[in-house]
Amino acid sequence: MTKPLPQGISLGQFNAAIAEIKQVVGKDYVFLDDITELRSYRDAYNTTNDADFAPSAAVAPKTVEQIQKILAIVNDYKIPIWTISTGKNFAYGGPAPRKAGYVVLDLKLMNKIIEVNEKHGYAIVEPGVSYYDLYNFLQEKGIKLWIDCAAPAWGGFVGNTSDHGAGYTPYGDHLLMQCGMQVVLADGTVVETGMDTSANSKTGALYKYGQGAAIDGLFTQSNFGVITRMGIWLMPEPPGFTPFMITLENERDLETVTDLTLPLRLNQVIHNAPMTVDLLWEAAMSVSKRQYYTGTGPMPESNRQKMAKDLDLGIWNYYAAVYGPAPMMKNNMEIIRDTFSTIPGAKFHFDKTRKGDPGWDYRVKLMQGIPNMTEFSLLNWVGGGGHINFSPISAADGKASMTQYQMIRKRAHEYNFDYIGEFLIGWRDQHHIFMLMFDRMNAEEKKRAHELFAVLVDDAAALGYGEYRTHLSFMDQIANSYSWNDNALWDTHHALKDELDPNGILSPGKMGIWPKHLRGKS
Amino acid sequence: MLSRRTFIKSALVANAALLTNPSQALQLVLDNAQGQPLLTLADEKSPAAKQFITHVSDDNSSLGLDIGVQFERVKQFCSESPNGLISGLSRDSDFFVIEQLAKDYGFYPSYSANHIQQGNNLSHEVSASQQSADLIAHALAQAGEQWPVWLAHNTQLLPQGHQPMVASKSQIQSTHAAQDFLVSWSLSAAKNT
Ligand SMILES: Cc1cc2nc3c(=O)[nH]c(=O)nc-3n(C[C@H](O)[C@H](O)[C@H](O)COP(=O)(O)OP(=O)(O)OC[C@H]3O[C@@H](n4cnc5c(N)ncnc54)[C@H](O)[C@@H]3O)c2cc1C
Repeated sequence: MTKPLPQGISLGQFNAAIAEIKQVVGKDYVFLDDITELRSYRDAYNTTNDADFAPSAAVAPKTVEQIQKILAIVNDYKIPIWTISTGKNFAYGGPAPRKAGYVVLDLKLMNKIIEVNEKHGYAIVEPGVSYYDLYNFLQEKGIKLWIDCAAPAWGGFVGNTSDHGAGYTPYGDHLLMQCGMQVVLADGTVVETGMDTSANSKTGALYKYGQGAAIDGLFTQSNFGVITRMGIWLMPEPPGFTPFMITLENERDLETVTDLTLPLRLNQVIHNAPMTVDLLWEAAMSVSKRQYYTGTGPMPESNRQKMAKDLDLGIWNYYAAVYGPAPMMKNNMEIIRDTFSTIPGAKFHFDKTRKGDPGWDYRVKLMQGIPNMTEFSLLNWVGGGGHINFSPISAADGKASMTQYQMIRKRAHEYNFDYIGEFLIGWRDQHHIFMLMFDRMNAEEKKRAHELFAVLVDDAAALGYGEYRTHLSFMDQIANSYSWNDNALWDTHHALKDELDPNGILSPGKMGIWPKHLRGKS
Repeated sequence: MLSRRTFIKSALVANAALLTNPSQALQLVLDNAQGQPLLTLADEKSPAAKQFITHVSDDNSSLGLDIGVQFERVKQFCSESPNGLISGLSRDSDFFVIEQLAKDYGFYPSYSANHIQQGNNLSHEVSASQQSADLIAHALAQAGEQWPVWLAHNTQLLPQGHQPMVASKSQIQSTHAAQDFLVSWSLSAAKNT
């Protein structure tokens, strides 16, 4: 395999830049070997070819000063870099860059927990701090604060928040719970946002906005800077926690359960983001497809029904929790019971009866911020499972849920894939995650998955739905669907890009934001 | 045909000494007898993985549903045993996660094989170096239903270099029908090769 190089850069220029970078971080922290070292920076779940996203090198700085020096070098040579923090963005591209040849700027070694404030419930962390790291730290020190983690806990606060990720406690909207950040701009300027920018500030992780424009969001899902530190709010350990699950028998119950949830969510009767999870997602935690169906294509209804019965699962499975003092939980649970018991066949499950079930156990952990990796078990549904997530947003509205579900399921079946999905009901919206699972060793299946995804983006756009986040391969296509008023939003992104990063060195193409010289060429 | 002796040329078999931590339900074999530390992980549910692990050692514990439970141990092993070998017979997802984790410590796969049983049809899809892929696929088929035992005996003899991998497949008819998908694998440090 020939060395992938950044577009327009000769091997001589590349080697010269790498030699300078080695001077900054030391040779042990520059990774160049394609067969060994750079395999850490591939997306094992991509639906095209490894080569499309193969980096030319990776560099792991330890300090802000080193980042500044690296940026000066890559600006000189006009070499694109791709910033990652914990680098586990699987389903959306993993640690791999948008295009072959970029140099990955891997911040995993910047992994200090700078501060934890128990009284005010926050932590300030560097990009390499994983969910496990902070959880273990809190446990060791006996600090009674919870983290909120994504389902795979090897990811981290800065990376996940940068990509607008979500978790399962009441603090599950990660960007909402972010407060204050430090960012290095392309020219090396270090900026602190919000209150941190006033002299001797002690309130950077307490109040988000400071004075002037609130710009934190600009550095997320974008390529305007390198985030080097972030404040995150942590939930005080509540006096009590009652997780529950409701199994629902019919496909159409999705509509009812969503509509019944919205007022409970808006009024904070349910404290976290409830999940309505389809049968296959739940079943895949304990069984594989071939145990119930050895044919090709999506699993037939009769096999699904048998599996649901065997595993005591619903066609939809609804998870949520209430938190707080016992009388409050009792009160809320009564309202919740009364509300959902109106759905014929709805069955409540609690720890007493459900403990030991793999799906229940890991969701209960996630709803109290206990890090784990159990959700990866899902990938055994098919042999050699890989997946990319198609993740459109809708209103938390029954009809919208059904429309999206039916649209995606129909298309998935047309392309011979199972529908494996869940709806996460946020404050007013829903994240719908369709886990498009394929055999990652099977080139034909990958191609089919790729084609299906592209069709889904267009189908969703035609119905007025946009995605909250996406895989490297589809960033441009989805950016094109955010095109109201003659692409005014992307024109704004591009104006900012040109101003903040005129050489276009920072993560070119992240979410469809390209520097001037590459615009329209991808 | 791949005989044990073929591999003995490139590595020595060592008797495994077992260290387990029951609270973590991990099958852990640490073997320093011949100078190469070995960490072996096996799925707790699959009968083939159980067969495998009992032949790596006498004790029996295993990988549960949450692979995250093993992270600290794998990281510690990688840091403390740069010349070590991590091997396993596990669900595919566990291999995927361990592989990603170990890469951060410079450990990369030098061998992996999918063992797929569809009814009575048992196939072994091996990825290994050019010199060994065919041999291993053949040996696994020759071992018949005892393939996990063959693997257990040969774990440390599987290739440990980091040359480009090629694929080789073998297939046999099994006497019992099942639906199963397991992956055997070994990871070693690149700097070691
Ligand atoms: C089985 C499975 C389940 C999943 N479940 C969830 C889930 O519950 N919730 C969820 O949110 N996701 C989920 N994901 C997706 C993903 O794995 C997580 O979001 C994960 O946390 C992202 O990886 P990371 O935290 O290591 O971030 P990284 O990979 O480090 O970063 C993600 C992206 O953010 C940007 N970025 C990172 N660091 C910086 C920085 N310092 N400055 C500027 N930009 C930066 C980059 O573009 C990068 O590609 C799941 C994936 C799988 C495979």
